[in-house]
Amino acid sequence: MTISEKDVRHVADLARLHVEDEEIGPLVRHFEAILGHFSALSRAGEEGRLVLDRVDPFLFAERETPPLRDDIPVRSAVGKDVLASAPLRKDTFFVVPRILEEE
Amino acid sequence: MEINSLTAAEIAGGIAEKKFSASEVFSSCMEAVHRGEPDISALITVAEETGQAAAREIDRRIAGGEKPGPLAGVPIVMKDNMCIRGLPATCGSRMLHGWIPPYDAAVAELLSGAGAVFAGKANMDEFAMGGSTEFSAFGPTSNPWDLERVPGGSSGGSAAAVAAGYVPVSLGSDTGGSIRQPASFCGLYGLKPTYGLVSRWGLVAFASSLDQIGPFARTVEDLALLLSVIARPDPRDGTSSRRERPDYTACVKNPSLKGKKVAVVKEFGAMSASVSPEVREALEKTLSLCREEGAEIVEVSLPVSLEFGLPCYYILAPAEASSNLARFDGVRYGLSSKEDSLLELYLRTRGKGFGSEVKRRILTGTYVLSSGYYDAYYLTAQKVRSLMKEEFRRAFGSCDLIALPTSPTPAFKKGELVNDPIQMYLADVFTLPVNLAELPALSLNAGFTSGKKPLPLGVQLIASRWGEPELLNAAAVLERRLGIAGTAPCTKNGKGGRS
Amino acid sequence: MNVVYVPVIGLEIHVQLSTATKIFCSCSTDYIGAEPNSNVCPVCLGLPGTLPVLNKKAVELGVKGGLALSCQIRSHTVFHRKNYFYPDLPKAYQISQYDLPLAEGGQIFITGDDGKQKKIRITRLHLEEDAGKLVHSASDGRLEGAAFSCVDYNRGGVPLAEIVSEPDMASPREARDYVARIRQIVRYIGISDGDMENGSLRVDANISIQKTDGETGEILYWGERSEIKNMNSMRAVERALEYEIRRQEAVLRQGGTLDRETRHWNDSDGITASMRSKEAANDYRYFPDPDLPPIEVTGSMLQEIQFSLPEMPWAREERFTVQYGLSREDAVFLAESAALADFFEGCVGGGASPLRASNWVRTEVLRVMNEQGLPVGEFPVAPSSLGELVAMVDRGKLSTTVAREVFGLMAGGKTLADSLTAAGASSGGLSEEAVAQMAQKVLQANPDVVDEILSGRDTKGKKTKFLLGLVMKESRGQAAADAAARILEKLLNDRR
Repeated sequence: MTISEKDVRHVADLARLHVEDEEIGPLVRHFEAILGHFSALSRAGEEGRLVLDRVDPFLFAERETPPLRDDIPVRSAVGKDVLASAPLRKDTFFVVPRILEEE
Repeated sequence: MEINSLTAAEIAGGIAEKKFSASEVFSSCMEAVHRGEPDISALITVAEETGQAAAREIDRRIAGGEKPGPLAGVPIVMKDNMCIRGLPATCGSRMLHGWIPPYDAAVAELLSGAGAVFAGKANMDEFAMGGSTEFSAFGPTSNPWDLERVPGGSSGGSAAAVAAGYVPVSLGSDTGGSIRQPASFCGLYGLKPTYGLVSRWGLVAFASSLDQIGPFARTVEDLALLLSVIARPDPRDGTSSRRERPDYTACVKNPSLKGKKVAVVKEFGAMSASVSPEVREALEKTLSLCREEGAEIVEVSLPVSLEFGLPCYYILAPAEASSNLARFDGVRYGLSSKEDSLLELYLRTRGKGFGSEVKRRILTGTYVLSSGYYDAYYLTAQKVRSLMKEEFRRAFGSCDLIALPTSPTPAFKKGELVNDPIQMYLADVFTLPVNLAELPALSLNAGFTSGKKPLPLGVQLIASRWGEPELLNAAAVLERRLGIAGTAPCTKNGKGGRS
Repeated sequence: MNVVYVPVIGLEIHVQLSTATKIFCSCSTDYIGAEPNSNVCPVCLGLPGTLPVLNKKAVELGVKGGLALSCQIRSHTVFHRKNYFYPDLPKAYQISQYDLPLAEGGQIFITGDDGKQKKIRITRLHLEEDAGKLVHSASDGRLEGAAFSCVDYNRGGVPLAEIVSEPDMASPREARDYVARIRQIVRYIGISDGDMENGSLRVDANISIQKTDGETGEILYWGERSEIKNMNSMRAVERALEYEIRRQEAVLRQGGTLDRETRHWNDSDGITASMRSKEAANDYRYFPDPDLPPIEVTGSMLQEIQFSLPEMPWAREERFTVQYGLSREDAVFLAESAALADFFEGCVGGGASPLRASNWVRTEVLRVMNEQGLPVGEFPVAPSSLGELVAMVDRGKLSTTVAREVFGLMAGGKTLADSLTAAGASSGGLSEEAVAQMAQKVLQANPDVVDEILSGRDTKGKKTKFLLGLVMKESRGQAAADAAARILEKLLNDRR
């Protein structure tokens, strides 16, 4: 599985992570190395050492059914504390800069 | 009696018997912190004022005839990814520098409810991603046994704080070995409970299906004491088990390994070349002691877990992490880059706020979940995880405990692996299958390396789900034979070695 | 070749469920009018370290909705994380459902363009959490051109049921009918107040056009669909789809192609406009939420909820035509809301004939409701009382005119008995005329007493009382005393 610079930039985009140009190269190499490790799984599948066809994915195996919460309102104790940590505020709103990208 | 070398049980007992006060203990704790921190840097926040106030309050309550709980007056440190209302929680990251949680983690509530006094928040690899505490935005922590070496990670600060004698016990979190490996590097007991035993409410999530909070201690009695306080059901955590908890402190009272089956892992043989000779010897020694104490040594086979645990973990954990860390976007709290557009706000805040290891994992995680790759990676890893769980279940059909090294080597030097992240990942080979299989495991100190600066050697015991009593029992037996580890010699009043 | 352009329309409707608390935390759902960011907690703000716990009522209402739509309810349903970045989403993922939703494979019936019943298949109903609200800084409040936006998380976490239809609708009219029907259903079963104006019911449409051969029906080209958002009323849904059909058809007529896109309805300009990078290339990276183990919907829960389902509107319509002989039109009208249908049946239960009760409810009751601005559930007259009144008209004991007068008084707060009296219709069935006849008879039979009264010699009123007693005796007690007294007095005065 080869991975290109374009792939890395696309993933960084999806993750909203700014990556400097000089970080791209090392990231591509890291991806190549780690995907190489991941490919051990598919190789083992091909070689028959891992038989996954009829295996159920792990998801929630043995988890107890969670308790469902009663529908009773409780006023939170945090109150105005949450706004105290707001980087940008206007009255009691959180504020974000221009949402739409300019053309 | 040096307060700093007392155990939590001894401190709680001494305070209850009025041999000394909680305030005295806390002062002594602060002295140790101030002495040790310039070299060790285990703590991001030192809670001197709030701690003193809490200690005074405990003293006042005791004077008033109250019994404030089994940990009354015991100073404790928590990893900085756990929330204490009013104290910063940075998760070792620039992203949360200065963030003060407005609420308490479940474990914080339980500990204060038991009378414990918070002495500080411990350094860690950023967002719990790492194996050395070198990936902290606030600088690395040094191993009290050898200041040029790492204390392990990601709960390195919590381990170092105990090894350095600041506090008798601390809490860390373990997603792929982050309690057990630092315990082994720092000569301590470290326990990762069964997934679901300890509430994750208030633990900043790294990988939700793998994270668990657990204790560090220098004695098995203290380990059991801490576990009994924090292992409670919690309706605020949908993954918290409602099962009734046994009395963990009872497990260490009359421990015995007679008739127990302790297993070695067949596949370990082929891997032993990658394990340092001294670690292998420590494992052998532990097994001999078990045999001498009446246990039968058997063999189990865990081929999938040992061969495929690593890729499985490094697909699943970063995937969950990429989602859990997406909320850090500069809008509601934490670091926020001043930008003109939302997109730039996201990109720059996250670009600046996260360190390189966190970025690598977020990117890997995003990749394996992305369109076209989900089946090949995420779903496949989930299936492998099922196989691993099944494999362990079968193994425990013929044994009570499984013994493996905790880490292939003792503590490595700072800077040695920080530029080779994948090499660091490989060191988790024995710990991370345990998280994937949702099992409990404990690391115990089984000796030291020979040489000028002896380094602790850790051995890992794994039990089946809810098998904490099994682990505590075995550790208690071995403690009788191995002795109790003191604090590291670098601390001026530490005794080091075995008492 | 005769080319026919056929619209293919599917709708996604989000309804806010009528729970008291949010879906994953205990904050109230009563957020309208609250100060921004005052109805929040660490969970719905997605603060680090917090975890979701599912609201039992949300599951129950979701199951109820699924059953009402004739869906199969999944016994183990899973929540997934839908990952994307937007300021109204505090965790940067929405907890929603993906491939194991709560309910699937249902249907409802609407009136097709041909006037006949048309089945619209329901693909699925699933649960998810609502996002916060954005207020944009631009002077027209729009996203375009806003230098900054304000975020309010009060609404974040309110439970939503998303109802997805198959693309079975063929016209804007059918789409509107579908929305009306879904709205009716959620209100009928009480899972949502289904109000498009306050945002508790929201509609997104998916529309594409098939270019077909008019004779054979063969599809010559099928354009990619557009997703249309921001339609805030049923009229807007219809208008937006009408516009979109014209737009897409125009493209196809010119030989162009249509790509998949998301478009925003602009109600004031009457057009849809393409939405830019906001929605572009969203890879949601769905995976099961590890914080929420699967929910089990047990057989007993299912049964209990099934029993709690009221009679559905279409069943009620049908029954009204069959059981009461109402016309289809009247039946549809009366079954429009559960409350109105209940009122009608309460009337019939009070003794009224169905046809007359139907008329009365559709005319008199509705008139008063509109005048007084009341919902039928708060109507001042109990349906059984109205039923009694209408029954009297049925039996010929009251004329319709008088009955309307009586009803007017009842609507003003009087009981049936008092209203009958006040309108001069004595309770027990004696009309004014009958009492007047009896009074005349009494007067004629007692000329001396009448003289005495008329000449002013009945100072203490004893003679009048005597005559009244005779009238009462004559009426065998069926006349109301005060009505009889009044009539007597009038007749006496007439003789002066």
